[in-house]
Amino acid sequence: MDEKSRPWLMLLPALLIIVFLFLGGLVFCLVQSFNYQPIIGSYTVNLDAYASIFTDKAFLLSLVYSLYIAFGSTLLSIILAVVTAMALRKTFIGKGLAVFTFQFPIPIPHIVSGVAILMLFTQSGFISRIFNMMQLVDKPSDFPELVYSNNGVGILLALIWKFMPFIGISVLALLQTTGLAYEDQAASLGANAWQRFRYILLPIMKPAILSTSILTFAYAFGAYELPFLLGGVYPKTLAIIAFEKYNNVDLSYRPQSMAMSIVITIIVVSLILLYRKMAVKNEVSS
Amino acid sequence: MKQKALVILMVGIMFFGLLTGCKGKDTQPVQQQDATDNNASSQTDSEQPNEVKTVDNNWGDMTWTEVLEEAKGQTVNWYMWGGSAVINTFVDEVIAERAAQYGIKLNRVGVTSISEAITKVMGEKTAGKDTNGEVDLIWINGANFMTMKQADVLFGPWSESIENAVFVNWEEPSIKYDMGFEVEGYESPWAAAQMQLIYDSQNYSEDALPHNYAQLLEWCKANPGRFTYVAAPDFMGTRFIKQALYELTGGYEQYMRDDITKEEFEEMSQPVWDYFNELAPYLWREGKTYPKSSSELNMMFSNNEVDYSMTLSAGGISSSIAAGTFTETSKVYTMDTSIGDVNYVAIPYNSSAKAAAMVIANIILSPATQAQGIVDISNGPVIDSTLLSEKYVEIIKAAYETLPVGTFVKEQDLIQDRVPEVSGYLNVFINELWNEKVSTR
Repeated sequence: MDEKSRPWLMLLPALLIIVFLFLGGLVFCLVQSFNYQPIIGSYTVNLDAYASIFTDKAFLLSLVYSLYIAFGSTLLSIILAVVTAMALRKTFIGKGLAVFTFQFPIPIPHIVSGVAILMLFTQSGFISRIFNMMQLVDKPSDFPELVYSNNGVGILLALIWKFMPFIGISVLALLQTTGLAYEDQAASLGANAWQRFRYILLPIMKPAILSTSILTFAYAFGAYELPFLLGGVYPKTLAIIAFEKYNNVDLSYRPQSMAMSIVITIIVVSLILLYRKMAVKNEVSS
Repeated sequence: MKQKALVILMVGIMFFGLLTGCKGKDTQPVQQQDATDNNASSQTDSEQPNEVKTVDNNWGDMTWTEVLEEAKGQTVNWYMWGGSAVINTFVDEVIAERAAQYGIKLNRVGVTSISEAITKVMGEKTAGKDTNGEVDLIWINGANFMTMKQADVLFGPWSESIENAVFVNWEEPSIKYDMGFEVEGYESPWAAAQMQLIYDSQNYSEDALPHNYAQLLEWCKANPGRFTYVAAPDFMGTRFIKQALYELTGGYEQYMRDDITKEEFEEMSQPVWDYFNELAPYLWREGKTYPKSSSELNMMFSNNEVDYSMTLSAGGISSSIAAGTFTETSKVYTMDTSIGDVNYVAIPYNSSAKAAAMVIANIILSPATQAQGIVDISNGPVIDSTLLSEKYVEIIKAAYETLPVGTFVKEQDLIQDRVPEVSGYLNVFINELWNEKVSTR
């Protein structure tokens, strides 16, 4: 086989799937978002759907709420992951068990983690009952509203439970392959703990943090099942209101649903591009 | 480096393709049809007219025996809401077994929302796939039926001519009109539904229960935090709000026209939004949030977070008690305004197993299946006892007698409180207005 064409040949199956299934779907989505729906006799092409969603307060609020969920879960996960990874890279008794426990959530499906959070944190859930038994709260309904609430705490908890080990394991792998040599050297030259973290560890960890947090952000921003399971009625995340519009029996709502999907896609893709730019800059400077 | 960027970008796009439900219609994986489709025979049919009669071309002058003959060996893909384990078992065991006796293979396809199946049929129409469609039978009602009929993707009329259609009173308004849309032979009834409240008879005696929306407000003021309802746009929530609409604005009759604009409706329905905003502070979590589905509400009810849940099963809750969803002391009752309707099965225009699909609809209407449905899945029967022979009346009666007292509302009481679900398209307005005016409170 020709050496030059070989990589392309190997990429072909994956590329076909991506281009035809997903980019194809995206094009369909885009076309419908312009109001073009032959099935209900709508052949006009216009931007009405975009105009109507951007003047809709509920949509704008959902946009803010989705950004809050995505940024909140990703940032908190990064902080927790970095702290944990720094602790786990040292050698100590029971490290194997600690690493295993830390990795445990990674293969668990999101929906399972959502149900687990639900069992634990509803007002009639396990933790509320324990609080009640210990007389920390008078009655179960005095337990703080963590799930089904408008503050999104339950959603954040479930997402962080999944994201933290995902980011942490990648960070840990980089830390461990680097070893302690740089730090020892810096310490011998008089760098304090903060300086060693800021100028040595953080640059080492940065590629892992960037590449994993892109994925977690993208996932959280478009998440449907966890917000559906754990969220309140108002506000809702973008994916939920997009799906509600999509499911509306009146087909003339569908362009709005598609327009929302396109907006979600544009936001995520531009954030990914921004991240990439940062990552490239990072590589050049180091 | 560039490759890496590309991969990350694509992964991102893949994520979103998946998450936003933004898949194009033509990207659905195409399921292979069984070799049983009769499409080939119907094509040759046009060349040699006298050879084989098929439903596709000759339904008008076919006898029921000929339909049964054609149905033999066909596979029916029945798309239905798959969220209830007991209903799934009933279809897989009871109905599928009876279908097998006619040489029909019944393949239940569970979906989370029936609009998925509708989207599929419409997608097929857009793509020009006018025969061999994937959906052969579909469990629908109301606005979804309207959508399909509007888009002209239903086969029919057929339902009034199948064998067991004689047991159905087609002139009864709740059968003749599906949420205000005339059925006209395009769908066949499957089960009766009616809104009922569920309570635990250990906590409250029968005479303490609220029977109308004014009493409900008083009840909630006396028992703050112990009641809530399912949020719109879940159909249970929409229906609970719609009942209030009928009661607080002077009856359903004024809504029996299909030219009400949103502005007009907003004005007509204002008392309802005032009512729900007045009620909200006394609801679970002071009405700052609501359960999003009836399964959420059921869970809260069985965990004793609230004192009421809701059901639409006209056969009551005995099957849910048996399944352990509710305690044995749980009972149901209807409020004075209780929306009741019927849900149906319909056949898409491009099904390749129309004959077999009709036979399934026929099996559903048989008194034996209807009676079994009462016991197994708490379905309300859709056949009219005045049209049945004595033997069949006994079968239905015997089925009701197996149910524990209080776990279902007697048929005459259901009928007494029943009001129709008119103008399904108003539900879109109800959902929007509730979201704007009540959920954001």
